[in-house]
Amino acid sequence: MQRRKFIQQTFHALLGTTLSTSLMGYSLDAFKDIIIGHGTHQYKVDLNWGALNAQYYPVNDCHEMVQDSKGRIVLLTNHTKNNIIIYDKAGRLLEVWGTDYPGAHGLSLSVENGEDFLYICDNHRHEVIKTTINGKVVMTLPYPKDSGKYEKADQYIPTESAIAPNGDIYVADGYGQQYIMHYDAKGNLKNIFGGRGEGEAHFDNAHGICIDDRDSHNPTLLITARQQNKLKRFSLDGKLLDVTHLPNAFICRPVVHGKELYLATLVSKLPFNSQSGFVCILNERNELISVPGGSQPIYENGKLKALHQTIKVFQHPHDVCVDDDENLYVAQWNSGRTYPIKLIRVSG
Amino acid sequence: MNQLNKHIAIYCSLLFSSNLFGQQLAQLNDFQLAAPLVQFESQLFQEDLTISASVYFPDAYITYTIDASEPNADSEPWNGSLTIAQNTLLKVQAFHPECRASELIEIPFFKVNAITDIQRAKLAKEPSPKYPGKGAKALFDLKKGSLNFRESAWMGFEGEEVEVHLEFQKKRSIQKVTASVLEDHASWIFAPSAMIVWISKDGKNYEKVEEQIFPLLKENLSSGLKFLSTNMDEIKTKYLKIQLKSIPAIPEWHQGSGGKGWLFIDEILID
Repeated sequence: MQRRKFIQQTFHALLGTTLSTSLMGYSLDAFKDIIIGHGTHQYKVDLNWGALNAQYYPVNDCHEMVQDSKGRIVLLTNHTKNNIIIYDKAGRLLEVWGTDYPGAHGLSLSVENGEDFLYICDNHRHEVIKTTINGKVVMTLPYPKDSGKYEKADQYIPTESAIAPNGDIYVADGYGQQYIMHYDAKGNLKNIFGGRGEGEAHFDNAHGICIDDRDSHNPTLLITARQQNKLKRFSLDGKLLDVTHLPNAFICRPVVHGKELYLATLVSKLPFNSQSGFVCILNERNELISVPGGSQPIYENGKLKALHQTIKVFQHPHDVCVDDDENLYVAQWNSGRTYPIKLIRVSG
Repeated sequence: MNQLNKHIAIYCSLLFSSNLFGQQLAQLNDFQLAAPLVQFESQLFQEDLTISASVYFPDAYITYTIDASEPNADSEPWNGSLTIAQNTLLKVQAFHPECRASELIEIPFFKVNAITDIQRAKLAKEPSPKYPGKGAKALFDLKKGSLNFRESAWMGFEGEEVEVHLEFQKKRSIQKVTASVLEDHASWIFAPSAMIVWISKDGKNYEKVEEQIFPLLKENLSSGLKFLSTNMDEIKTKYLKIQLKSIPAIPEWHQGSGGKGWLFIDEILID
């Protein structure tokens, strides 16, 4: 089987080289690579990245991805045959593990004393699990009973975690009661804020959370209120600082990389249909600068015009991972069990 | 020769798609354009209405028809905006030299006259207190809701039929009844399965004059504004009863399978 494939590929390689040199320029003009995004952040699209044999390495929803310290790309899916799939940047399979996370939803990386740890938010188990990079469980954070906000575990449906430089852990209960839990590194609850309600300090679908350390002297929290199409900045002790509105965009989780902020956008509100997602990229002032798969960012009198999908590259983007080459990996929810899409940056 | 080159080019492209070099990049023709963004004040208008449509992908353009035919790449190109002054079925679609055409968007626009001869309007059962709307008379105020079911233009009914009783000032002629309803499957809101029209001489004993069954739902999570009409022989009546039947149960493919669906209505048009 392997050998046959090899021979076939070798044959194609020989033939391909011969033909393509004889065609020079003409042949590929007819098949233009798509480029999506705007300005400084434009990308070619690799739809086949990370595609595996679904019989052996299946996925359901590809919920989130991170790059670990070794440069590997770690994918979290809610398929319990292999909740974690680890690839190299070229999309080759390196390792799989994890069969105990039926509601695997949020994946965050934390490097502690030089060692990589993962935090998994599980919607079905109603808890957050900390593991080593190899899958050994080192801590479990159950529902925060002591907070007095929850009567039973079912009310707590954590979607995302973020780890502060001092080791403190923040958890967003994005599908539950909308609180943000603040723990110390050992898992003792220090503070709870947010929750449902009127006013910007409250949330509707507090889906994603991250530490914004772009101002290294003054790290803050960025939390998405997906249903409200808003990104909210809080101090580390839970005070609302500012709000960024991305009209029409159901933003999932904020991801800081370099000076930019990246957000997979599940769908847009108008025209409302189930396959209308894209990716948002914001600069250090949280101004939208590029929308791969979506409409160009246009500000009129300081107000951003409503966003929408322009080309059907994505179906329900749920997370974006930015690697050390500035390329993106887009994990998708409810996309027909497809593997992630890689976006290769073409402009600088 | 050109033909040969083309064949060779296609063959090369096939080679690339066999992932020969480890990384195959997607091309323009792998993708479909998203639907054009069509904007307007309301699908119901009294004198005229200006509609805008836009598409934002480089080299994409929009064509349209208003004669019920399907648009194609060579149909009338869309130029900024369009003003209409009569009932119009607008069909728009976005095209691109390489990408696949967008889905076809069809939007009916109705030129309507305000109904001024309603003496009494009554609902047999009140809507859910969560989505009360603004009372039976607001079903005839020509104020349409958007796709957002939380707007006060919408009345929501959970698992129940909607029955509206109307008394006109005097006997009048009716040829068509149209119900404007919402479909939002992700929010468990389904279009009705049937509309029945009754007339009466005394406002007590009703006679069925028309029953229109609407097709069963396909498996999708679509949403949209729907106008469901019954065309009938002209009738003359002072009393009219309009019944909209909810779907009997949420279909199998939906996560709420077997449960009660919601029915949302914002307007009834009478011609």
